[in-house]
Amino acid sequence: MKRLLVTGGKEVHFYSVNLCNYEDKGDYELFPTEELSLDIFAIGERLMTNGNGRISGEAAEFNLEGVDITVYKEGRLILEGVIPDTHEKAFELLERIIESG
Amino acid sequence: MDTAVLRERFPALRNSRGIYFDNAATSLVPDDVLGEVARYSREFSVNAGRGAYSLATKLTVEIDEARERIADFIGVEPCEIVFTANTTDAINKLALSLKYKPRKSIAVTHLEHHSNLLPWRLVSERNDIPLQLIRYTPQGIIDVNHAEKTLRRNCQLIAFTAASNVLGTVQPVKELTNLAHEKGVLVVVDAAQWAGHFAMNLKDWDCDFCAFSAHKMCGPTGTGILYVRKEVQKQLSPIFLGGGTVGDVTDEVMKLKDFPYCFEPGTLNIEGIFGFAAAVKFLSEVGMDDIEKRVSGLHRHLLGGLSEIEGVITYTPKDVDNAGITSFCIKGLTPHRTASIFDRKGKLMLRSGYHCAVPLVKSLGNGKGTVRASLAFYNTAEEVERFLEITDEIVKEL
Repeated sequence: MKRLLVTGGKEVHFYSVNLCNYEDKGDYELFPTEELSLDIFAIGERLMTNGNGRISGEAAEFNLEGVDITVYKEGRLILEGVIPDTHEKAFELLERIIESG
Repeated sequence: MDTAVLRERFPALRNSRGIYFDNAATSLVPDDVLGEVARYSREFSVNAGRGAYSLATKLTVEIDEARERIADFIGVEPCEIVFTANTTDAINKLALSLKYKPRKSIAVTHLEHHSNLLPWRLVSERNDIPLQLIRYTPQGIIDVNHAEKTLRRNCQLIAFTAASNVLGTVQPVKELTNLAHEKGVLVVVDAAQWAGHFAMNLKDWDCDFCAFSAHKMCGPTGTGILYVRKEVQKQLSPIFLGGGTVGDVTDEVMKLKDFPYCFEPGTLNIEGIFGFAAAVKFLSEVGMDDIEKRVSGLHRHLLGGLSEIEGVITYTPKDVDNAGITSFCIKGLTPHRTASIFDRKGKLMLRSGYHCAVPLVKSLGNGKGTVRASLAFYNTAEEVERFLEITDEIVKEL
């Protein structure tokens, strides 16, 4: 599934791929059609609560609303445990993470 | 055959696009198979059967020969195999075509891929037939004692995997088949993870039905086999009909063709069948005994090495015959995150998640799935070493 989002002042298409489904949860991979350069430190600072997560050179890993999130700086994301198990919810989380709009 | 020479025959390995350890999902395809797939379009590009021109007739003969070659590879007669799209398609067709006895149960195991679980659950729900679940042992083997008790309880069919797609553990197919037949129970074997790793002799297994896919044994996607033992073919009634499945048709009557043609409606995946036959020829050339030895050696190397890395949890039991599959997790990392790190660090291709076996993976006590490394005979000890190095690196960076 494809969605047009705005990040860093420009429009970018993101694809969402469903990786797995179990119970009422789903795992998703989201990636842009062009390579981005996300500020993963800023994303981590904004969304990590109580030191919940870690940031390495190329990825931020944290938990948001019970979803395990991995954000790579080029814009690839892995969301594990998305509820409800829909692409819509995955995109909603993506928008929050990259502050689309 | 020397591994370097062998690897030269695979375009995906010649192009060195990374380390491929996702063979349980789909194996790589050698030039021989690609050539045969293309040959159909190049030399034929027509339909088989019922054409009174030489090219159609020649193609019909080639499909028959392909069927013979595949049947010979698994030790059965050509009239006992139906071409399907894949294992899932084969098991579904079987489940929906069988004539069931009322109130007699169907048994499956906790080790099954969804493809050998859900079709039986569907049959159970639609026909109000009880579905029984057989446990597995801590060694990842179907519990034969529990199977024995289950089969005694008014059972009509047992469906089980020959090798688990999550743990890789090889199952006691012959023992279970004998047990079932003693009680007059039909036996369905899901051989998706067996085919391509071990020699297959279905007459030796003595099962009634068996399903497997070409794409897990160096063949193309979109082709599979449903084996139906001659003696039980009358217990099936086809669910899809149309071109190729019938002889005479009047306003009142349709006369079904003999097995397997009555189960192969419409135009077959002819190029896929060409490729499938070429894959079987290729595997025979390499030698199934040699393939088994190579995979077994690589698997022991990988599982042994992984078990020694602190911070890694392995779910695949040691010292059990295995189809080259290891399921594991790295403490502190989710499975998809782990797989993505392997990809980035070493272009190492692994599968992650529940592997279409949610009940099994949950029963391992893991709430988030596993990472699965699955090997094939064209993998190398150097690749396994690189995999272990990267695992070690990932653990140390946590």
